[in-house]
Amino acid sequence: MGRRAVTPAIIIATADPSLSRMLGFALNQLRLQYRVLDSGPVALRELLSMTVGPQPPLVVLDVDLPGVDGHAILERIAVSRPDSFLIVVLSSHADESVQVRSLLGGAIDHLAKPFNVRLLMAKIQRWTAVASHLAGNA
Amino acid sequence: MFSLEALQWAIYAGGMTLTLSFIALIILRRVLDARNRELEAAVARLEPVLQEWLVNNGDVDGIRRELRSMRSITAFRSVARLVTQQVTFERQQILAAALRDEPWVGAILSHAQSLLWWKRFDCARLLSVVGHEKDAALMAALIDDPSPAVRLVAMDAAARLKSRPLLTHELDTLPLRRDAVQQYQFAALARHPNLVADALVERLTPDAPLHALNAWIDAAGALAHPVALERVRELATHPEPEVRVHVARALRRHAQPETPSTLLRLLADPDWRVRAQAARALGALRCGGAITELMRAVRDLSWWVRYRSALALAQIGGPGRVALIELTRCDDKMARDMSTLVSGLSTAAVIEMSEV
Repeated sequence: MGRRAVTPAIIIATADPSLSRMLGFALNQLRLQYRVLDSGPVALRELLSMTVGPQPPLVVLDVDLPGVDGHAILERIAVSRPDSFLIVVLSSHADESVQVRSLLGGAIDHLAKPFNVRLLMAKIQRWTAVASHLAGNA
Repeated sequence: MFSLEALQWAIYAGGMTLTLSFIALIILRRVLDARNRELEAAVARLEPVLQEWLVNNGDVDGIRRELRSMRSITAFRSVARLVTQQVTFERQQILAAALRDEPWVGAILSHAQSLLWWKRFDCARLLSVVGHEKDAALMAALIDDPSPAVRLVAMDAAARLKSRPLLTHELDTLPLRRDAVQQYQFAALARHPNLVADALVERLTPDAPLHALNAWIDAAGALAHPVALERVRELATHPEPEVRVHVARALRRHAQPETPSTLLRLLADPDWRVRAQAARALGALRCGGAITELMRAVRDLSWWVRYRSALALAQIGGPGRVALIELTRCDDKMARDMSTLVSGLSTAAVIEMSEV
């Protein structure tokens, strides 16, 4: 029996409509399904309550969210739902300390805006393939 | 009688002025709304073409055609809204080459000498996207603009070009800028690290004017260029404590074998500000070999030195955290209090507080 193809869930948490449209366009090209959460409180509530399968969804988390910022969400997820999501952080700040904070907070990557969208898509493809493989072996 | 008539005229004139102002505000509001609608429509047209170019490596001509079909000011505002937010510096270079000679670009750049600062500001903003070598003189003039807003954007525009005269001009004006402006300028200069580092090395000498020297040391720290920071390290014995403060702060980005010994000397400096910055740098570099000295510094008379040293131990992690817990049981009440405070902080809090 062939291995069943799994469509990974991508979650985009950003309040920037232009950015979410750009990421949506790119994800559509890759035929990846995604969902947009457009504020900090909504993103936090959804991520804490979302049912997650064996393959962790990939979350593209913008730090500059209104209400609750991305780093606060990252820290809360690390405490309440560790290893439930693969989180990549986007930020206008490229300072070393901000990047270290993201990575030590549990993110798999930190990208400073403006970022190369083609590079991000390549990384997303790789991360989702690895997540799918690990989920298959679990 | 005369005064009553004058009062009536005054009321009449006041009423007329208010009515005319009200009408003017309504007209102004409608004009601004119309402009915003035009801009939103233009952005909506440009966005798919830009996405196609960025995601699918599409043709840059599509962007050029779309912008050419717009009014000059609308084309400029669409570019300013989308390109600076979504296009990386490398891709902007491609866009700059494609757009620089477009008629709408020429129309906006013709305002570089305008008496109105916001027109010069627009000009500098556009140069930060499409600036070319031939615009170097224009950028240099805008860097010295009387308006600080224009100067800031012009610095960013100048950093697009690999022009040594422009970059050295920015470095020489750096000491004249306020701290916040300097931070912005560092980010712009960091686009050409080798060129800037060469210029910095020439300026980082013990006999340089104090204020300028401190600004250049900060620039070397922000740039984190090893060659420039090695020159900074040589200034650790400068007679002015203010300079040593800046040296210790900058060295937190200089992960080289000689740096810890320099910082340990600065941790024993007579000036508490130097000791505090040295402790901070040892923490940032995660110097495991400095734990004993940092434990001693947690007993310093200065609160800031105790605070920075305890944070540094937490940043080092592992054995640093163990040392911190050991200090919570020591005989010095000040050191006990500080180590208790810092050992309760999370990793994220330590990172955040170490940077402030």
